[in-house]
Amino acid sequence: MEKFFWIADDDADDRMIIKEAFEENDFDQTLTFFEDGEMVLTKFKERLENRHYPSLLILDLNMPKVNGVELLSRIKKDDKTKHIPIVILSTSKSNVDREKVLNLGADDFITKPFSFNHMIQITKELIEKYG
Amino acid sequence: MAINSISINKEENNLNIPMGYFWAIFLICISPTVMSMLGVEISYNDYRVLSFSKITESVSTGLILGRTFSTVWVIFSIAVGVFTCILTLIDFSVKKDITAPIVGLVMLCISIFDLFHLLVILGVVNTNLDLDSAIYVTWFVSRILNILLLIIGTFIILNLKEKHLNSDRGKKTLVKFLGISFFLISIISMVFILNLKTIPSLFINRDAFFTHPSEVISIVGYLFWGGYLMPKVLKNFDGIFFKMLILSMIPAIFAGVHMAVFYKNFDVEYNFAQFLRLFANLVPLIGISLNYSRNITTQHQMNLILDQEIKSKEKIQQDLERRQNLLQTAEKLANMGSWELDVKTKEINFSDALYKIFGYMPNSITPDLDLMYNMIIPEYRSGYKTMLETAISKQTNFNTEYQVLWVNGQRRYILAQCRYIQTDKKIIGTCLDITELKETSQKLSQNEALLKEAESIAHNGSFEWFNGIDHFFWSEELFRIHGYQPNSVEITLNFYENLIHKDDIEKCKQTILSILDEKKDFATEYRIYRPDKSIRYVYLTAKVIVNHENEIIKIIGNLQDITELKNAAILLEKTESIYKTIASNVPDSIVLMFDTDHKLILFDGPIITEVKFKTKLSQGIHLKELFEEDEFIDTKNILDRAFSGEEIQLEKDFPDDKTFMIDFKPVRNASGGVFNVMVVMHDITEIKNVQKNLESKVEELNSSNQDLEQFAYVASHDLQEPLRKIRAFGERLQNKFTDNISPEGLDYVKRMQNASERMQTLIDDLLTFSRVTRTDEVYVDVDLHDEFKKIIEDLEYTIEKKNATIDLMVNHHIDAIPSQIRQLFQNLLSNSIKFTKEGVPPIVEIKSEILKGEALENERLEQNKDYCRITVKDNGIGFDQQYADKIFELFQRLHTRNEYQGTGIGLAVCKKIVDKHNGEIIVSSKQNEGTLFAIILPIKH
Repeated sequence: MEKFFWIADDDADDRMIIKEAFEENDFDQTLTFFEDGEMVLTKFKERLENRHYPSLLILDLNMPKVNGVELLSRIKKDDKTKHIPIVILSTSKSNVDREKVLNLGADDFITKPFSFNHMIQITKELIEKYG
Repeated sequence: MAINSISINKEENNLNIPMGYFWAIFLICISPTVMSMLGVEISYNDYRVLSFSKITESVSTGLILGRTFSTVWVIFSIAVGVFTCILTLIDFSVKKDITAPIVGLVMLCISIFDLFHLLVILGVVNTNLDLDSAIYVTWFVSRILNILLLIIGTFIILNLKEKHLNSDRGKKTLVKFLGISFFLISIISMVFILNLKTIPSLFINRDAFFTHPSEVISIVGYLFWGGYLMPKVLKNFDGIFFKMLILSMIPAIFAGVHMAVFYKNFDVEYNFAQFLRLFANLVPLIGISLNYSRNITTQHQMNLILDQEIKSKEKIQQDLERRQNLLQTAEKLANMGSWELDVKTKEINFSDALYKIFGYMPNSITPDLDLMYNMIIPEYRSGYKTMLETAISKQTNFNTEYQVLWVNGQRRYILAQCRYIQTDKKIIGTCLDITELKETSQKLSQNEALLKEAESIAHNGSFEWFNGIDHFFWSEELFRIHGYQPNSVEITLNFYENLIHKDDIEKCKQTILSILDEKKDFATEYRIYRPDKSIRYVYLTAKVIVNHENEIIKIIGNLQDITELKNAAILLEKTESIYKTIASNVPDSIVLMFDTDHKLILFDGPIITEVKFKTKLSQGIHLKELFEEDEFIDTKNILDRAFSGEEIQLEKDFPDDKTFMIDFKPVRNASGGVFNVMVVMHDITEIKNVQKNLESKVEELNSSNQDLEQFAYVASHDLQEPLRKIRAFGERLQNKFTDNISPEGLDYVKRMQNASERMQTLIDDLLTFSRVTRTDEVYVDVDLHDEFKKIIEDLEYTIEKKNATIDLMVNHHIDAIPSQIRQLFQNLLSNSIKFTKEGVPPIVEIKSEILKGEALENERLEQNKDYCRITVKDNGIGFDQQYADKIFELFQRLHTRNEYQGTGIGLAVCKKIVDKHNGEIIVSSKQNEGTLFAIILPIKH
């Protein structure tokens, strides 16, 4: 089955760097980028079946309209979507923020700027973990 | 007056024979003899006064005048005899006295015989004898028969048996028997005479001096009867009848003498003798008549006496009734009842009052000994029963007290007395209801106890001083006030003088002198010494009691220990003085004091003149006079709230741009009651102005701080964004275009990346620093040991790299913000590992202990609060102690970045975290000898 990742970040530079990171490491998954959380929610509504859900979600913490925390919370509360692994990206180095998102169900917390290797390693681990 | 005491007041002999009667009879008896001697002849042989033709012819001797008298006497004599007998029989039927009818029957029989004698005299009955002889013989037989029957009768009287005296029937039988017997004797005598042929010469000797010597027999007989038998009779049977009967012996004897001696000489026809015999019969008749007369008189007197006695008894009866009524009334009044117990029959009687005492209506129940026992309540019952039984068996008396229970449940106290009456074999008991007395007595005791208690509580003693004997009576409390045991000493004026304080003695003496002079009631205050030399203040009030001559009898009074009051008054005086001093010296203030009537009682203060009230302040002025109507109502309401115990503080602007802070403080007495309200008006105009300025400055400062914090946050957060991009794209440049950039270009990129990284660190640290105060995290219980363990784990790489030894000896919990605590100790531990001497592996000792604020000797810490002191000691490079304060400043560094990396923010963050936790951070260090950080944090927030 085709695997595809959804990445939401309002920063175009960050979206570019993430895209480069996956490309350089030969990931063949389809990457879909969103500019805010609302777009992600809209996309979920369009895809009502499980098979159309992404294998991994990478969400920026601070986004306009619906931010990463709220989006994370809503996905993890919905029985249909709560199984989807989520990685939160943030510029914050605060442990408070880290613990907060992990408690809400995020699988990992990556601080910007991040190294390509670190991100790819986490992604691989999650793919392996959730199949 | 008793009948026995009645006596006839006449001269009497041993036999109580009235001598008057004796002499009268005697004179009458000798009168015929005297008359004969004087030549009076009442008989005449040849003169016939009556002519009985038939008889005259058959009788040789007719009635002559001389005999007429004799005949008349005989007839009278018969009549008297019959009459006497009738009277005695009547007497017998009335009085049942058998003695008189015996005599009466004798006289009746003699009268019957005399009738025969008369018939012989008259010649109606003829005998075998000549007439004279027949007359004398019948006379003689009559006389002998008379005395004989009298003697028989008298014997019978003397020998009467008790049965005859007691039984009416016996008496009647005896009378009948005697009547028949005597009658038969008379008849036999008559028959004897009728058959008599001759008579001996002894009876009639007409020629001799003693013409009829046989008369001696009858005379002797009479003497025997009258002199021997009758006195015996008189001893047993008193009465005029028997006395006259004895006296009848005199005419009888005279008659005999006449017959024996005088016949021949002057009493040929027996006139005198017959008269005397009639007289002899008449005397008993007189006797019985007198007896009747006397009986009637006696009866009358007795009736009078009986009347008197009846009246007397009636009076006694009335007296008795009155006394009984009195007794009943007395019993009623005294609440006393009585009872009477017959010891033998056990019959008991209650008085009316006793019923009431036992709670019953009089005679509503049948009195009974068991009933009386049951009236008594059980706890007294057996005791009372034993006492009563002992009194009965041992014939003793007793007194006791017990309680009875009324049917309605009421208890009554009874004082009982019992007396054994020997003569009547009775027990008389009285029961006195003493309930009221008992209750009054109990109340009195209670009142006395209360009085003592009251005196004791009030430290109030009373006394009486008796003039003349100079003696004091003191109540127990009065002794105690003076420090003595009650009644342990005798109190006199001299003794008391020694108890008075030396400075008060003169005053007391003056008081006493003026009392003795003016005799008026008085009151005074002085001090006394107690035996333990302590001094007490006392207040004495006394009343002088004088007699009608205005002389002092005694003085009664009351003495109160007012030491505490006095001390309190002194204290109050001092307090008031202190208050006044304080009030007048409280800067920029006015102090007013209001009483419960809202009247001003005190006012003072340095600015008292600066505040304008409606009226000038003065003592006693009412609140409403100080303010206008509206303001008065508001102020009064506040004052009332203060009087109800509330403390009120308010600010008030006055018209002249002055502002006062006004405090309404309730002033309480020892028991907590509010008796005054103190109003403190403090002029805060200047303070207010300063405060306004300060508030404005604080506002500015807060605003500035907020801006600064906002700036710091924004700076640290938003500045990161482009920096991150620089670093990210710098990294892309390094990795992706390595081959396209010259080595020099790559070096530039690397330096740019390093600078960016430092910039990142700096921003991160600044962000951390600014977050310390911005956090909204709460204080929770933090296990310091756990936190240190986590920090050590985080620093594990560095620790290993530096070969550091961490000695953790922390085992306490505190209230803190966990992330900040971790930040704080992570910074300190990092520093300890970072600032190490070359080639010397770092050793860090971490300890904790709990200490009281006062033990830490730091003015910024609270004395009574518990603190946890955590020390982090290392063996690093240390620093000069002069920089101890400086190192906590932001961006302060003691070394170049080349020596030790860092931003100079770490310790500033530590300081800020410790400040936020109201703690203290102290550092002591010495160059090359290591550093010791001591962090003091409160255990609780």
